[in-house]
Amino acid sequence: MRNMPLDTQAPSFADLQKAAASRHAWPTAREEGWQFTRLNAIRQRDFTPASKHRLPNATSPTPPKPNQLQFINGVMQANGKLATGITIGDAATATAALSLLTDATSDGGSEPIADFALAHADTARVIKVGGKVDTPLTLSFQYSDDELSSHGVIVFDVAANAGLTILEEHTGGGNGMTAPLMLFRLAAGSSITHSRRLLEGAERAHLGLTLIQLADNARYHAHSLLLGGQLARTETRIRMDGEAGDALLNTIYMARDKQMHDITSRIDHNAPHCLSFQRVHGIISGEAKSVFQGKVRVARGAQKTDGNQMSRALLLSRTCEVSTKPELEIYADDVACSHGATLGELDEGQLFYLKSRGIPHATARQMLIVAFLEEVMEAIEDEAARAWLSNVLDGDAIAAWCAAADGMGE
Amino acid sequence: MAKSLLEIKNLHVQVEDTPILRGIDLVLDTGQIHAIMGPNGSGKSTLSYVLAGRDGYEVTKGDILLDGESVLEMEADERARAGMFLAFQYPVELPGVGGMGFLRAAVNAARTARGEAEVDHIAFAKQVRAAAQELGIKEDMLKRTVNVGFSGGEKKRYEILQMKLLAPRLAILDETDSGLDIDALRIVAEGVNKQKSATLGVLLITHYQRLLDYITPDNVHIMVDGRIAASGDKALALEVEKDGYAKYAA
Repeated sequence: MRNMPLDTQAPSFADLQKAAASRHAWPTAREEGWQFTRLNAIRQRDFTPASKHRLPNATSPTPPKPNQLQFINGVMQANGKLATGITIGDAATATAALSLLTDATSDGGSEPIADFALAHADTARVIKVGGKVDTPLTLSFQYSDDELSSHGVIVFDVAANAGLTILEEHTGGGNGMTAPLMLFRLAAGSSITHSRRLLEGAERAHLGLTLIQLADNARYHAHSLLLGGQLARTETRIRMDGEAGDALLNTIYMARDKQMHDITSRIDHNAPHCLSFQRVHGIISGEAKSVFQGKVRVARGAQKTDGNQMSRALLLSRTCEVSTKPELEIYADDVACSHGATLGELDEGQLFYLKSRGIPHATARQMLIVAFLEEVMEAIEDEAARAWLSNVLDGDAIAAWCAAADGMGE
Repeated sequence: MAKSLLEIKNLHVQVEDTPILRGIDLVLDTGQIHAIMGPNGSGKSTLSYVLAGRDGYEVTKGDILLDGESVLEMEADERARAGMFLAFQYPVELPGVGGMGFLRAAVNAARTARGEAEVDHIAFAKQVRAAAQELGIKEDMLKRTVNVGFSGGEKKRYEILQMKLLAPRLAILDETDSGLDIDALRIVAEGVNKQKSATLGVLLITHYQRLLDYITPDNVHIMVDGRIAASGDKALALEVEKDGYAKYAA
């Protein structure tokens, strides 16, 4: 992802897809970043690329709302009226950015998720953000098809000092798979708040990859909620190429039964005075598994870097499994970097205190879970984003989740 | 014969195979205040936890009766809804749990159990503010998360506020005086005295006699080594204050 203008001469999208398809191979457990999350079930499946065969004959069940983009089984539908400052470009412009993808991997290896998404996508799009947009842009992904595999491939091209809040939601049933691929190129002083709700049914797989490049004073704040899926993985790679960039990755996951949630990140501090903060709070129950693997690399010369990672997990069963792998690689000498991880059960003293006030066990537990998640929620500055995420995380939602988790586990 | 509010019968309790209480007998009637005094390690706090139903305390012999019914099979929350209240020696911090929501959840749990409707948010907030003011609790404390960042004295006042709102029939105050300066002690004592009524029984667990300058007990029990070594009236507390606990040691 070199800082090249998007209209540079580039191969066609078809060329790009062909190359991606020939390169693509699912990673094995020996590959970095894939030790914990096994793709055996996916490897054996044969998904149909939307680009080669039929496009789903789906029309959106509801007409799109203003400033909403709908994707049915990964294919974009007619969009609602977009807010001033947002324009959508075609595959040709997207291709220029996507062709630079191979540079995103520092080791030059293939990018299994990106290659798969590209090979199977019907097209790619550029969303240009030209100024400060007040209305959040909603990306609504709905799935129903098990075999057809088509994926949103979206490049966000954010102009200097522009700003946008994105609300991205994935819903739907069946046992299909989705691999949304998103690229963010943030010019100097621009700002993106990217909120995600992964609410797919318990048989689906979600392998998301988000690549971000930040110029001077650019800001990317992501707030992700992983609730659904048999397998849900968000992989985020951030390159802080300009000075005084600001990256925040807030994640909440709630995994129960046999769900697997995977939060993977890599942040490259390539310029001085950048700030990155990753916070992962998980609730895990039943035989569920989770992994947080976060790598922060501070390049030589990236002085005054402030890079922090904190992961906490609340274990509600004896049979769940949490893996944490924080990594720091530092080549500059004037930096402040930290990582920390805690996991534990609900505090017996806190539970007893609540129960001694007459609050039933289930309610007390639910109150402590809400409190545990509150720390992440209150760190969300953007009010629209916070409210949108709280909608699916209030006391009633937590109570229903706990009841379902108990029903499965015992 | 009317049933006593609380009857502790030959209570033996152990924690991880270590006997802590070795045969406690005590009868407390509604309208009474009983004080339990004793040196550190005598089992006072164990008694309060066992009464309130904390896990990890094994009753090996004896019984605890509330209104003549054994509570041993009841969970802590059931006991609370049956009218028991424990003011903690060390109130627990609940980061992220909003104070008002906590108080409402507690009051609503009792109301729901009684088949009553939940409280009205606005009316309840008003009630809480009025009660807090009487106890010298600052309004901003009510907005914070439960016990987080409270001083020792503030925590104890917050316990008494909860007691006031929950209106229990049996209040167990576990070293509510510890960590309080004289002014806070007076406010807390006044809070308890105001609630003293024909419908409340109080078990006051304390290390020092000074709380009893403000709250007058009907009975005083000296607890040493997991047993009640002596019982008497208020004079007994003054005697212990002067002579110490040594003469009661087994």
